[in-house]
Amino acid sequence: LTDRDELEALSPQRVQRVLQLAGLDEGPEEFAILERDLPRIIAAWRVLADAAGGVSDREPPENGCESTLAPDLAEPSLDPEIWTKNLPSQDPRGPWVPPNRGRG
Amino acid sequence: VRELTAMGVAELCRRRDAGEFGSEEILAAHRFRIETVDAELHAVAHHFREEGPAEGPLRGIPYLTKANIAVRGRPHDCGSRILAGYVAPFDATVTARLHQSGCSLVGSTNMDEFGMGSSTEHSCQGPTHNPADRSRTPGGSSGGSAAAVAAGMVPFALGTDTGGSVRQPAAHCGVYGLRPTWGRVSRYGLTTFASSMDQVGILARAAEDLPLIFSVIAGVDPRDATTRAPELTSRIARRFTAPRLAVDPSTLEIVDDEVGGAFEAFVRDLESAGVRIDSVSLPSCRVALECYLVLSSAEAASNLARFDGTLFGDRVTPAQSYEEMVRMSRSQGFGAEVKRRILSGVFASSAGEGAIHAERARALRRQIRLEHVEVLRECDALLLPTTPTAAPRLGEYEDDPCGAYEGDRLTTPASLAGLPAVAMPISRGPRGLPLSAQLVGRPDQDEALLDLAIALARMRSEEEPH
Repeated sequence: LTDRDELEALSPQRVQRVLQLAGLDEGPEEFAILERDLPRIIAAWRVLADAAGGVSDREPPENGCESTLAPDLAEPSLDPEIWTKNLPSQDPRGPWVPPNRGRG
Repeated sequence: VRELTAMGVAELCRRRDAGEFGSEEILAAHRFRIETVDAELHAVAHHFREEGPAEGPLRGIPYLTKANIAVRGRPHDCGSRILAGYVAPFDATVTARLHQSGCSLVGSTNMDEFGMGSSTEHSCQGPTHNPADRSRTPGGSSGGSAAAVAAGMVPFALGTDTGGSVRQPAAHCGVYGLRPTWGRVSRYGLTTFASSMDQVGILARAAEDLPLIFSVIAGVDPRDATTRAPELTSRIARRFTAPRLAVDPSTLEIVDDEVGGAFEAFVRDLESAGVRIDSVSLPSCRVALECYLVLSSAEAASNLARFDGTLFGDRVTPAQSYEEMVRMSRSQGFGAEVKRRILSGVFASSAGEGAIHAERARALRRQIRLEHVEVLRECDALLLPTTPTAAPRLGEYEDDPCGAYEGDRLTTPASLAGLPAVAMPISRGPRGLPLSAQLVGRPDQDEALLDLAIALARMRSEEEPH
């Protein structure tokens, strides 16, 4: 992440979007957290960039699946593809079957 | 009374069976102890006074459970205002199993809200105090359970450990704390914080009580699809005549002099007692705390979405719309630390910059597990300090959440790797505060790890001056 990204992460539009997704009110405690704490918390995560060098592409996640992400906060997109691309019906591995079911 | 409340579970059962006292006396002595000391410590959130002794091998043995583990018909607030007045409609599997074994549940313990915190200050019930020094925190988030066990209110208590919430308070209060392998103990009835790491654990004064209680609560539960039974061979008890432990010297770079000095003295004592210590390196563990914060916050933001004022707990009214009711209920119901985790979790689980952090954290989590498994191929366990410092003062990190998170730096690697870990008291520092070391074991070999902890505890007690 660059400094610009970090600042952009907390622009007024993004603050409002984060609060909306979190289901929280625009109260003084929430703003204090967003303005004072969140930049420091996110900045601390930067150490992952160096540590992850050469690690992230090594192997796929252990369980072979990716999480479904919420839309990019910078662009509150309504593109339906974001919500449908990970649907089980489109998974080439076929429908998910719960463990311990259908075994006699 | 003092004699009974100083004993562990195994000793109480042995002497009860020998006819020295009955199960009613055990229960009465501990209830009296709670009445006497809890007013100062505030470890117990809800008292269950009418519970009598049940039938079973552990009849009369009292225990407390953390307030995020369900007990049918009892308050279940998870330390949160949003769940004030909520009563659990069913029993968690762990409390049901303890009841079947004869244990008597005498109450639930104070905790950081939804398990998010390391000091038991973030609770709607107010803070718990450390029995070793009332001006200090007992650690958290299972601080009420740790303080209660240390103060003799019960011989053992249940806690939950996501990033260290059993081991870290056990360390600060001078008791033993077990975080089992993820999947060995059912989490049915545990209100989730971060599902991929949450685990029910045990706090006890005597090392020998950990395998005893673990044998009661562990095992497959059809109500928790993540539970499993390991191969039988991994459950066979081992005799450690010459244990081989691994120490990563870089862990000592992040502890203060008090903890570092005690840990080095402990290692020297173990070496003199015949324990082989290998120096190893687990480089990815340096960023385990940051991985944990990214992943656990993302999971928390999702898991806590269910608390919206409609189904559970408190609802703020009147509101102009459904959305406003949800926002107001959550904003007034959650404390600051929970909001901090939800907000950072929303960021981490969103596409864009947040996803980059989450992607890196997921990759590093896998690497952390691989590094542990590699080291544990050769050694019986990894040995490291449990916490970077002794118990902090109450309010020490009130305006410094990142500083408070540092308390979990040494416990998060095992959580991310899903490995069993035991915190064990090793000494008291010059200020009289408990200091602790942590053993991390091979996956699913919880029984062997506990045998090792007991062996090391015995070595330690034989060396202490009588």
